[in-house]
Amino acid sequence: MIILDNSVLSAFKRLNLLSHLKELISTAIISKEILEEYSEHWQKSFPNWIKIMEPSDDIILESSPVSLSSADLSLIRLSLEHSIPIASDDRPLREFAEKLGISITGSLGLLKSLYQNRIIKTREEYITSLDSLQKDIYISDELMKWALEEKKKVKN
Amino acid sequence: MVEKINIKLPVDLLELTGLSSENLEEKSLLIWVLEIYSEGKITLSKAANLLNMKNDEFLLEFHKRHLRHIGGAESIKEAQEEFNVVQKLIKGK
Repeated sequence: MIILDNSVLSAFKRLNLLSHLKELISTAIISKEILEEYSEHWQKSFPNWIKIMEPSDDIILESSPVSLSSADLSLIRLSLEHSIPIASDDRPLREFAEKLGISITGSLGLLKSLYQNRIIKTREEYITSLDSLQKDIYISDELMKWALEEKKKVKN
Repeated sequence: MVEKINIKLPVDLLELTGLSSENLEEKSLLIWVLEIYSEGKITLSKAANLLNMKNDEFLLEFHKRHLRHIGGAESIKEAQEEFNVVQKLIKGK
C-alpha cells in the first residue's frame, strides 16, 4: 500500500498508467482533501482501487513549510498515522517527509518498477512512458541512463 | 483569507497586453506561480491553491507552456532508493 500525492497521481493519469499501477501495488491511498483539489469531471472518473481516507485528528504537525498546502500535510499525517510510504515528485513535500522519517518514492521509481516487473511489457512502451514523464518532471541524462539500465542477470 | 501585497507594474503593460488591471494582476500571479512551481519551490497542490484553481486546471496551464518541472529524484542514489521502496512494498504485498 502506498500514499499517492497529486503530482504522481496526475502524472500516471496523464500517462494512462493508473491501471498498471494497480497491478503493481494493488491499493493506494489519497486524502479527501487531495481528491477535492481535482475538477468534478476528474473526480467522477476516479479509480475505485484508490482509497480515500482522512487523517486522524491525533496526528498534529507542529510546524510546516509554506511551500506545502493543507492537502499535502494531510498526506504527511496519513503516512505518519499508518506508517505507509508516500509517492511524490514534489521536492518540498519529499524533503519535509524525509525529515519526519517517512519513506519516499516517486514516478521514476514506480515507472522503472513497472518495467522491471514486466507490467510494462515492452522496452518501446517503457521508453515512450519515460519520454512522456519528462513533461511532468525533469529527468537528467544521468537519471535517464539509470532508468534504462536492464536488470542484471545473476550467473549460476 | 490569504494575506496579500501590492506590487507596481509599468502602465504600458495595460496597452501592450490588452488586459485590464485586474486581469493583469491575475496573469502576473499565474506567471509567478508557474515559475516557482517549475523551479520545484512549491508543490502542485500549493501552486493550484495560490491560483484558486483545481490541480488539473493548473497542469493544463503548465503543460501548454511546455515548461519543465524540477521534481522527483535528483541523483541516481535517490532514484535507486525510490525504486527500492517500491520493490520492498511489492514483496510484502
